Amino acid sequence: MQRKSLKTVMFLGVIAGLASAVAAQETNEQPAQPPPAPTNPADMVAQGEGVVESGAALSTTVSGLVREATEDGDVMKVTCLNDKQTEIDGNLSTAQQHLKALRGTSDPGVRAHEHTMLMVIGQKLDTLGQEAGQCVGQDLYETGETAVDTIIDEDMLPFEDEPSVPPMVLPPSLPTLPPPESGMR
Amino acid sequence: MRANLSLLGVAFIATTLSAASVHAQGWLADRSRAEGSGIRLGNFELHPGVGAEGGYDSNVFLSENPQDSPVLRIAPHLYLQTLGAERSGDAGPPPVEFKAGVSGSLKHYFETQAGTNIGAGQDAKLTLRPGAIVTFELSEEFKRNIDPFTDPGVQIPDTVPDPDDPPVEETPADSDLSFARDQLSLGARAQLGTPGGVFKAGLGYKFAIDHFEADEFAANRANSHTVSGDTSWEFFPKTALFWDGSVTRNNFINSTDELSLDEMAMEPSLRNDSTTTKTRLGLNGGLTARVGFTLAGGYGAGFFDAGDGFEAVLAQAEIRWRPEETILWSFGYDRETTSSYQGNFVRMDRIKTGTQLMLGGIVVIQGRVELAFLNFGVDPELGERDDMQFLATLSGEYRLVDWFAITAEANYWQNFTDFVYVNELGEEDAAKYKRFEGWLGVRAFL
Repeated sequence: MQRKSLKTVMFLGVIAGLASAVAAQETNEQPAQPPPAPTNPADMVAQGEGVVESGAALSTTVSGLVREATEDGDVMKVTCLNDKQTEIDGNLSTAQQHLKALRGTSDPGVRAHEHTMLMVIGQKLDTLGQEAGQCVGQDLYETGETAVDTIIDEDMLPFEDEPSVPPMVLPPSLPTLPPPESGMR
Repeated sequence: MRANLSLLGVAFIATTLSAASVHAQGWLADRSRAEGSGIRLGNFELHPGVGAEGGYDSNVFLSENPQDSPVLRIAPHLYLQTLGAERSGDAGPPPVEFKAGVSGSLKHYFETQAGTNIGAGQDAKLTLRPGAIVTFELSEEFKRNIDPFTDPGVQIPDTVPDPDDPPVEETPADSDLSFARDQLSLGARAQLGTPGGVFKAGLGYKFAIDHFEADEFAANRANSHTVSGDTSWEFFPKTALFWDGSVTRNNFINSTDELSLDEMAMEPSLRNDSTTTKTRLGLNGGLTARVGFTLAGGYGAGFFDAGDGFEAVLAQAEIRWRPEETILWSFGYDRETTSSYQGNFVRMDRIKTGTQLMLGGIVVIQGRVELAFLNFGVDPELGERDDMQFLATLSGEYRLVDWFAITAEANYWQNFTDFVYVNELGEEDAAKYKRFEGWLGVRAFL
């Protein structure tokens, strides 16, 4: 029970962090921009390490949610979270490679490039965290295959059966044939 | 079982009021009324039935000088069809729909030379893939009508009588004259439609033979070829915009222009081959849940090998009111021009009203009243002619059980006209007449 509570708290923390990030984005009328690149190499490495640590924490949290959903037998949630975790892990691995390259270079141009890549991956990880949060509540909105039953109140419909077949106009009802020629001039 | 009767009642009410013929018995003119619950035979259902009636006809030969007679009428029928909606339920339309029927009508006149005669009717219709995108129909219909349709005329003696001789009482032209008229038609129609039938378009062809058995009426024998097209578009709630048109070539076996002068002199009136065409555009459907309507207009033209042709505006307006599920009332107006046996063509303006009721699932009543104004084309032999026709019919039945009913019918016709036929001796035969007939009988049906 404690483990579940811990995971829930962790997840709520992730969601709260993401929510504040989103709120911050909403208050800014300008489109979200990556933070300004520091000129100090140590600051660049520190920011890169922050991205990798956040990604690792996110991966751990989502992994716990996958296990929880598996235990609950919620196939829909498991499938959704698995997809997100695969993407998170892939991006985390890429971030670790760029952090390693950032640490090992002395060239200012390469350093700036590696730092930019880490910041972009950080934004991607934020987005994946939001999407993982939507997986948790997704079953509330997922209806599965739907069918629409339309009930027509026939009392409200015209009684005409086949409007495409209008009544025929018949010839005169009474016969108008002349008498036989034997009686005529 | 009452539920079955109600279903039949709804089906019966759903039929078109004007479909009935003035000649056929009330129930035979309306197949949905004639049928009972039926007998299931695999994927088919069979509807046998027979009726027997006694009646009175005030004017058997539609003459100004009427001959009346008590009449006996016996009419069996047998209908076969693929399972109807009541039996097939929600299964949807079958891949092939088939309807066929045969009926007879034996009539015996007790007091006129019309004697005993047998009328017959037979029809069949095959529909391939009803309700599908492409539908194909084949139809066939045969009718033998035996009811006198005109005054037999006055016997012309071989020699001209001496004016000094005392007048001789008028005698019928031919006491054995047969009024039997055989009509056969064969048709085919292909239809293309969207799923659900919102849009439909059809193309058809029909060949028809009209044969008068007696030589005295041989001049009326004809055949015709008709090519027709139609299309419709249905929209909310149950209304359709429709168009239909046709071209008909009618050929008399002995048309006037092919006769010698002597033969032509024996002809009572024009019999000219013709090509007629008609087109009609209109709206049909429901205004409200209880009110339906038809509103259409069109153009018709007739081209005759000799004599006058016609061009005409065609019109149709009808309003239908169904206050209850088994009660229907209609009122309408028709303007139509058709080929005629006199003056090549006849123009008709008709006001009509009718009702159909089923009360309590056991009483069926049908009524119809019409007033028609006819204006014939000018006939070189017969001159001009204008008629006004009045028709009132009332028929009903009381269903004692699901398969047995007491039937009653009353009809009144009157033809108002100043027109008179004149024979070789100068004797006049007025075309006006009035007629009343009443029937009472029983019928059994399944």
